[in-house]
Amino acid sequence: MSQKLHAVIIDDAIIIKEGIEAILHRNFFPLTINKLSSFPPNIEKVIKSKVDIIMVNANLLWDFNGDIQYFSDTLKSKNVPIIGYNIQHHSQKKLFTSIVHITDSEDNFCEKIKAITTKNKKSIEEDSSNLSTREIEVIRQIIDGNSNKEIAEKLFISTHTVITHRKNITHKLGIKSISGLTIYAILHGLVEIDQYKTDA
Amino acid sequence: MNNIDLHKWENRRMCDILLKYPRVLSLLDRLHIHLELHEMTVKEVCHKTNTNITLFVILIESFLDKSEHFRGKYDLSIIPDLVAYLRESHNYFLEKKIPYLNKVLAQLIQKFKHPQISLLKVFFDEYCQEVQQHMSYEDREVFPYINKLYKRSIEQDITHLDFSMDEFEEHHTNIEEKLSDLKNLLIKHFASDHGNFLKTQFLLNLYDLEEEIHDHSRLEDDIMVPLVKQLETLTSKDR
Repeated sequence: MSQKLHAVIIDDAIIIKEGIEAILHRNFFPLTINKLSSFPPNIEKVIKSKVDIIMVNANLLWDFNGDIQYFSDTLKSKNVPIIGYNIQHHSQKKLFTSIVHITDSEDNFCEKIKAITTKNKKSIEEDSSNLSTREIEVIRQIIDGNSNKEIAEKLFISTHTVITHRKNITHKLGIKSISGLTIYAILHGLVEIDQYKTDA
Repeated sequence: MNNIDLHKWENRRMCDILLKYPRVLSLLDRLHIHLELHEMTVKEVCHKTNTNITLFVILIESFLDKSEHFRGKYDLSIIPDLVAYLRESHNYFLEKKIPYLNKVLAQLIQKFKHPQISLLKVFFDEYCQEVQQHMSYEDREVFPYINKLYKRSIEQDITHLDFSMDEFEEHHTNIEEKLSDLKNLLIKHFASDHGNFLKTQFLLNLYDLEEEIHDHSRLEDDIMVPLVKQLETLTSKDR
């Protein structure tokens, strides 16, 4: 795996924590590990820097006073996979993206992590090229040479919304210029090719 | 006053620097350094070719240090040579680099079996026109103004100059954006069984051009503009 892996391990049992750390170091490079001994009160702070995977000893759930569902939902909404081990009760399973077992072999353990991190990256990439119907309409208007204000009037939305759509389009496609968007639109059948040739 | 480490560079062999930092190679042609280097140091090469060594070191350091920290104080006396270098760079982009890329693109379009590949030609032509306009504006308005201002500061001339760096900053557009769009489109949306060597060559040259244009804009924004503004304040005080 050539992509850097950023892992967080949450566990109060030092033997397990260091065992996982050693296995990750043997199998993933480059790698950064952030080790915590208990659930952080503010999970947003932990995932503020880049995190690819969080590993949690499910045993800690019993002592955790905070809202575990909120913890799990926050991570899911931010697309950070959370792996649980040492599961005490099957009801805990739904909190995790995936489960590993203490008895798993090293290969098995690493395969699970690899599968979950690459699958996660892929799903983000796929989402990014998925333009909404509204965004496609905005692209057509941009190509026709309309200003943000004109687009807003034509589509009955606010200028602010147009700007948000434009930001999202740039983010999804990685294309900023009008000519670049035009080529994208032609390649994907959003507009006719003649439009560009006569304009250009 | 110069915020550079002249001693760090002047006694190093030019060949060592070029072997270690290949980007510096593109400087030589623009500074008209066309001699056999042998074991000559930077100092010797600059002396022999009548090159401003302070400017040379500023250029190397700006190539190597992409951070904001590079923005620093330099001696006003580098202004004429800096302007000459920037002018020469324009010539390099418009007469050498871009025509070269155009040639590779033409070959690519011929080999690459993709029905819409010629769209990239329309796009690139449009880009070239933009760069041409951007640079010729500077050649026509900005550089002559700076040269006159500099001359005036030395000769205590008080002719009124109808331009300012504030005006330049307002007009200074970003000419890197379209390049990144072009890379993006080619990488993501064009595939073929033929001409992939040319596709790679074209892309690598685009990356190269992008970095060179970025460095060039930084020289203008981070070194030229602050220096000339300093000069503007000085000459307005004289009056």
